[in-house]
Amino acid sequence: MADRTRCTCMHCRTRGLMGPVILITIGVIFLIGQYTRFSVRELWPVILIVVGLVSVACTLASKEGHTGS
Amino acid sequence: MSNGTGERRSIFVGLLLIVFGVLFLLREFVPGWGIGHILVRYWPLLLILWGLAKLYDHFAAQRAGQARPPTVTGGEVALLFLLLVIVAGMVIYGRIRDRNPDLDFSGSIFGGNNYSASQELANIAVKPGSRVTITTNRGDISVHTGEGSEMRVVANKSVKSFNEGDAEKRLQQVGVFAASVSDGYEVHPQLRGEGSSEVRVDLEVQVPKQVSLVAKTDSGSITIADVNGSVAATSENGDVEIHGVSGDVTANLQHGDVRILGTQGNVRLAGGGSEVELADITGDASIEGDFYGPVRIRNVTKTTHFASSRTDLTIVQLSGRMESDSDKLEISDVPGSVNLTTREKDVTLENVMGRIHVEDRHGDIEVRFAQPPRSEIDVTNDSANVDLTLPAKSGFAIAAASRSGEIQSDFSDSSLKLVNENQTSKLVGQYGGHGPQIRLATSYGTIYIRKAA
Repeated sequence: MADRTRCTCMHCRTRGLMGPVILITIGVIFLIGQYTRFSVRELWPVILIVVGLVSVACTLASKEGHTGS
Repeated sequence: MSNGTGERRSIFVGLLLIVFGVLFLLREFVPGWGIGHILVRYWPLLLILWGLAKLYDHFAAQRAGQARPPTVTGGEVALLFLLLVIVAGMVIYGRIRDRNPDLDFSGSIFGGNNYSASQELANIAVKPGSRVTITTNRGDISVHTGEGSEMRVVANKSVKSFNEGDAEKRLQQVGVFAASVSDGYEVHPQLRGEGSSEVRVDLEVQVPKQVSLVAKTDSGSITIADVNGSVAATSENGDVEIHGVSGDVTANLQHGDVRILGTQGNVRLAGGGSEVELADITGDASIEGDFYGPVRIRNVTKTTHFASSRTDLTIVQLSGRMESDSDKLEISDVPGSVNLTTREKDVTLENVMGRIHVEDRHGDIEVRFAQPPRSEIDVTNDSANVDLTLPAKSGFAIAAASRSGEIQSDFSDSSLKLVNENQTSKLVGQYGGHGPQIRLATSYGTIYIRKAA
């Protein structure tokens, strides 16, 4: 585990974005739900799209210089 | 997942999430968009996407000199299965909700109790003929008329909360404004303070008969009855029902059903939604936008106009009825003319005595007459049948042509000629006495000309 966090190849770095990006998306969706006429119940699929986008970016990212197990 | 031996994760998982995310989002924002229908129709595209993703995996791995990811992984199958289960759940939930519209699941999902308070305002004297504007952000508007010249307003405020003190505070922060303004009278909630925007305010208003009305809500239904002036109703998300109005009626909505019955003026309906019912309208009726139906119109004295992304229809004097849904359109009993352009709909016209002009494709057209036709008939179709039924005593001049198709006629006469040239069947000539011109055309389909039994 510790090795993987230290790896600096593009693939692992993109992968590391997944968690934070999901949190940010959820936060933004709840804010939008509170202050505009769109509701969380309408916007939840955005989370799927964001996870999908990061996942695709992750697959496309080069693994050059990948270290660790 | 990557196991460090240089194996890549398939691109398919990400693509699948994006596709389903977009589908779910469209479902929320496009009215009448059924995710179940789309999947039933286009599921093979998922297989193609899967194949393309695997092809990409293969070449990407080859280029990087790595081992190819396995063709089908348990994770992918599980994800696909999970997404399909969610879709099935949504379809079933939608069906249940359609049958029991009063069930409210959202409360049980997000929790909290419903707290409400009712507020009755002092009566306001209203000058006859003036305009009353009623607005609320979230909530229903219901307007009826009463004797006398006063306006009565009852506001029902409600809010969902986990705690009674908080709920009461929020309810108190919402007042209702009702007074005369420069160009008439206004009724609307006044929100003060944080959290008050979540308070739902239903307005029940009694007005004198002699007013015109403007009603607007962002989320909620609108009901208006028996007003003498004109009525304009706008609901972003909710049903609209308007009865017995003497003036013109304009309704705008995005989601929901509309019923407008018994109007002496013109009716204009725009936006989109699901079911539409218009009946007993003395003026013109016009519907513009995508209402996913069924759309039912009965008894319109002047002209009916119906325009959606697929259909453009004008009916002069609809004394019978018109009904339209996603794959069919039926019109019956029209003394005047019908002019229709559509596609992928089965069209049925019955007893239209004025001029008929129909253009369709990929949908069968049926035209039936109980009395001999008196006006011109002009029907064009593509890749589907045309079926015309006339009384035996009809007289007409016909020119029918079916490219790569055939013609079957119950009417035969020495002056009617059936020919077949260049893969096109043609029927040309006169039948009976003097009669209107009939033009029928299609391709890859049969034209039937039948005698009514």
